[in-house]
Amino acid sequence: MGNHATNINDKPKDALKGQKRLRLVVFGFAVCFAVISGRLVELSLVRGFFGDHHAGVTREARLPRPDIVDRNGMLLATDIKVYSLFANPRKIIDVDEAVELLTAVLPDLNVKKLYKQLGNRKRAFVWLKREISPSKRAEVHNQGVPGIGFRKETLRIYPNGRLASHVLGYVDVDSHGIAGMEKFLDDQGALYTASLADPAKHAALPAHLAIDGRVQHAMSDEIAKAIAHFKAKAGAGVVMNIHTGEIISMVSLPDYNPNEPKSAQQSKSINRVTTGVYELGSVIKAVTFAMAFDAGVMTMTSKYDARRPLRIGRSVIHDFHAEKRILTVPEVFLHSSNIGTARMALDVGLEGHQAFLRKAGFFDRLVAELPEAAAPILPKRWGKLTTVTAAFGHGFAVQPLQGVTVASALMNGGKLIPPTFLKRDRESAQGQAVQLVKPATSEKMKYLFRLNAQKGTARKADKLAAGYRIGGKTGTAEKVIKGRYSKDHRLNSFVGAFPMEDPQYTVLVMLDEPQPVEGTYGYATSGWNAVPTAGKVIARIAPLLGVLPDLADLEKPKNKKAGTH
Amino acid sequence: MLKVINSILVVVLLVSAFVVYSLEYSIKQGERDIALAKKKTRQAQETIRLLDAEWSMLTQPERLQRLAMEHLKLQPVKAGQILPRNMLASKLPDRPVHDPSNTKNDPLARMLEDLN
Repeated sequence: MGNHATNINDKPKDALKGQKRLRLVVFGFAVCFAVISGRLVELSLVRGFFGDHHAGVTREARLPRPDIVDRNGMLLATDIKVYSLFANPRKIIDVDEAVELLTAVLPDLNVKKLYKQLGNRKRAFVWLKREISPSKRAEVHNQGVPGIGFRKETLRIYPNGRLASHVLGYVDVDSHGIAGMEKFLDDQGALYTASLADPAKHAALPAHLAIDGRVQHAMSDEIAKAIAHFKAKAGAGVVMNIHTGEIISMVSLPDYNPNEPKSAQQSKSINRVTTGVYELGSVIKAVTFAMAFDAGVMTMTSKYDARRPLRIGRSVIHDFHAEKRILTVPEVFLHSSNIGTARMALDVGLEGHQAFLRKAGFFDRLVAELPEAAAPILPKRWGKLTTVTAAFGHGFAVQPLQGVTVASALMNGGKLIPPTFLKRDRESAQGQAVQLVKPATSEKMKYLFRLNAQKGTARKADKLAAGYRIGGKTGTAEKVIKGRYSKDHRLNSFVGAFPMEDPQYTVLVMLDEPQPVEGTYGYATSGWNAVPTAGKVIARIAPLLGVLPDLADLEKPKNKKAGTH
Repeated sequence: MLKVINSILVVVLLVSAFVVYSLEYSIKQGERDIALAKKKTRQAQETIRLLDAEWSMLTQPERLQRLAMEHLKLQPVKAGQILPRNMLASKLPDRPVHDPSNTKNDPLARMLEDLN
């Protein structure tokens, strides 16, 4: 620069022109540098410190799918990374060599198909094998065949197999939920899923279900044994926490393996607890009792005339075990008298009966989290006969889960709590509860349920689960076959709770078309199959759920035994 | 004078260039380290997931029940075997029923021995 300046001074005439040009150039550079530095400062300091750090990283990243665990943290569903083998046929130099090398490591590849795939030069991408193990991947990788590559894929697996498959549901190959909680996490529960996710770390907390894996297995095991023993078509079971509405166990057999979604699409493996609707039969009688108590039309000392069948228009209502006498309220319950129960409903009246059933939620489709929830089937017109049959559970069909929910309300102090498959605490459950019946009514119902287990149709369950103070009501509903009630096709159920002095858990056991077998003396009603099954279930799950057996209750049979010896 | 200033500037330029380059290299090395650590973390996490899944598969209640029935002489707990805490003292046997040194009647210990 110094040299230039002397040069300019030597030629004064051009100096002015040269200096001007120089200034212009200097000015031009100065502006350019100022702009660049300004932009640098803006990008590095201003945006760096105050701006949005993720600006510019708008990669379309899907939220990671949360693991699903049971209430104790047992893993039920998780994502693992697997490798899939693909080829670019255009880049393959020697097809014969490639086929030879690949089949050496992966003998289950079809050679003919492989030749066809690799020889097709028109395509640039072809899957050879999905989901191969890490060790096989390393072997193929080390062969160094050109035109062969791996793509990392996410695979949803259910390490516990069939356990709780109806609750979990399953996903398709692209990890989209197709059924069950998996679908819930994608659709209605998207907000819940988002609350679990941590997009910055591309990780998610696990979704905690209300299910207890151990109880689920015990229930599933006992139902499976009962189906085999009583040659039933299907079976189902539910355990619900009576104070929180949490579903501790939900079993429906036959079930499917969510790792093989194809097995889920058979009609026999539907979820009978929420996808199927059934006439629950005598179990519903308990609802009628509670309604009559609550409406004040009945007390424990009321009496009902069951001497003759009840005549409504042209229809006649009989009792299954006709006592042909005047029955007290506990007797109506123990003998499961249709006539007595029908009279109770008539005393309450058609309007009151419908209003109560509506309040109990029987007229609405119950949707917990599972999307597979069927709407109830209700009579089109509600006449006197409808009330009479509905009183003992005929003429309207609901999800068995609705039956459990209402039964829980009858025994937990009268609170109708919406059921949930997700973990929930007692406070939040009580916040959502609706008072269905008065606490005093609930006390009376608890007495009747317990009495029925001690002296009535649920005796066998009490014996098998001695010490756990169970109470319950049985139901033997005749199934509708070709539009008529069939005497030989039954849907048997037991709904009950334990321990009865302060119920904690509600249990439902259902058997579809159990047959009379050896030891049931030709009978196939609920007391001979669903009830003992429920007893075995309760004896197994009560210790898992922390319910202590009552020793005083246990001493009695022991003493008896000592006496006979 | 100018020459001195110029030479100082040249030296400063060279030194600063060297510092900048060495800084950049160390940063690149750091970035490589971070990337490597992240990759290893990811791999470790994936391995943990895989092992979790495997553990869960091996501890399936159905499988445990089958194995217990096959190999152990244990039975499901009966109600009569459960005592409330306050009854414990009166029902305790005088001396331990199980002798830890005697592995004959302990099927689990026997299985472990067989493995060794």
